Amino acid sequence: MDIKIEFDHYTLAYGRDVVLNDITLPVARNAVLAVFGPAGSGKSGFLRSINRMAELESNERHQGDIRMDGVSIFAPAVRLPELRRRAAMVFAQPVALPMSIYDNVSYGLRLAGQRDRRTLDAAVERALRASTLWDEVKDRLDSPGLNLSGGQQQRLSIARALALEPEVLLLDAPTAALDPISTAKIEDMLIDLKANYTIVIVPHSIQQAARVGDAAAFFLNGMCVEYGAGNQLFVSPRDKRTEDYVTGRFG
Amino acid sequence: MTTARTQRFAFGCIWLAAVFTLAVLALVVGLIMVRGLPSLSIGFLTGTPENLGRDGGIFPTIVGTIVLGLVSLLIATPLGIGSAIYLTEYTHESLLTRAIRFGTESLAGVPSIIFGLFGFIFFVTYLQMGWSILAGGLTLALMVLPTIIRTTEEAIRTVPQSYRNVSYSLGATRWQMVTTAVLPSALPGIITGIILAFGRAVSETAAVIFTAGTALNLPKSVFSPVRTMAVHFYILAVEGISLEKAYATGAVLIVTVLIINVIASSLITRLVRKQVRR
Repeated sequence: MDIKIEFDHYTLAYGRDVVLNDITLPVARNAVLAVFGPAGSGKSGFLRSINRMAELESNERHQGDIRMDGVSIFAPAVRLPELRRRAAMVFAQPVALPMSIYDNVSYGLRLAGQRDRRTLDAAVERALRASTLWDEVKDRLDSPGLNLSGGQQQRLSIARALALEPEVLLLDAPTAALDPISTAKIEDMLIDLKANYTIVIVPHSIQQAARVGDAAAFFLNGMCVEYGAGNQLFVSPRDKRTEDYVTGRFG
Repeated sequence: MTTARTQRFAFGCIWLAAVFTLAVLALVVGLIMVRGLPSLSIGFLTGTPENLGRDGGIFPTIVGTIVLGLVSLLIATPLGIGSAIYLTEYTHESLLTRAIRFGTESLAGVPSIIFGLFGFIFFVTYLQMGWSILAGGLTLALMVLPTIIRTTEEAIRTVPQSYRNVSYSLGATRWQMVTTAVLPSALPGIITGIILAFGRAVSETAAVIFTAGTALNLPKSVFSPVRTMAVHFYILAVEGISLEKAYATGAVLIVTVLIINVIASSLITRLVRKQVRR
């Protein structure tokens, strides 16, 4: 397996609250890893560790290591803005910043200091096409992002992340607040995107995990109970707890 | 009582309260206007005072009011917004932030005459600024600082946390996050605070008399003493120089504040509309 990100005995805690407990897990390059489990199982903590957003909590502590392309993301030479541009994140709630559609999509690039209008134009179009929003908004790029519907705002959020040309996409329940049609659009898009991106998604349902994941990891109480390629976790789980969860006996 | 009756009774009370508030405002403004408008004229607005203000106009005091207000805002706005950003975005709740907040709240509760005395002792005498726009502006700046800090803090707190997360997640530094995600959203609220502060500054008398003086000349620099409209009103009335001119001055002061409020609120509406609607 070609490994993009590697968790190595990684433990994350907020104060006394242990969020992730001794996680060792590979994330394959150009594939979708679905991380699922009940609420409070540490899925979001897992995502937020990869771009070090977890450190925004004042009492965050961690042990162990996470490596991207073999290099520790905690190495002193790693600059946080740079890391977060390489591993861009999309949140569960669609967020259109109070600026135009164009400014939303180009936001990350402008933060990185990109000022060249032609470069920005090209990046905005490319990102909006990839997130399947282009045809719906191409004539009104100057109108406020807040005018878009929820589903459109979420695809805008994804476009905003894609505009950075990240290596990794971190999706924290990106369809949790959306209707089934918007959800289907985004799932189709993910299948297309994985040719170029390594995607880690916290799906909003077990079904979604099975649909989009090339590999899946089941989390419970901050531990990775089971990890498997393809549909193995859903078809033939090895661990009793995984089986109970995917068959709906708890959670 | 039935719920429908309670409902109607409650509505009646609330309606009355609102009408009463409006009536008080109308009464105050109306009275000043009725007594002040008759002696208002273009000459009054553009002329210089004669015989201590018994005759002539109030042009220098209009200039004094606006200049003093602007100078105090020029000093208080960056300080206030800076403190508010520090308190909300750069620190976690701690003993220090509680101390700073307690300090600001206390500052807000200090009577303006105390600010006046402090300004007189410190700026006018000790720092040898004399009665001047600078000394008055600094004193007023201290006085309105709590207003700006508090309203800015509140405006910043209403900015959704998700904006900050999105900004950070796309590689923003803390400063970029504040300037690109937080401040633009908080701007209308911040401007409201600045307008409130301006209103307080231009209508202040006690703190101004002690620090900016009561000179009737047109100011030449920030080191010149000035008389504001509010102070002019006070002196004309208290020293029995001319009640008629006092009310006329009051009318001009009210209209000035009103105009500034209207301009600023239309500015805010435009800002907000740009963010939300086309």
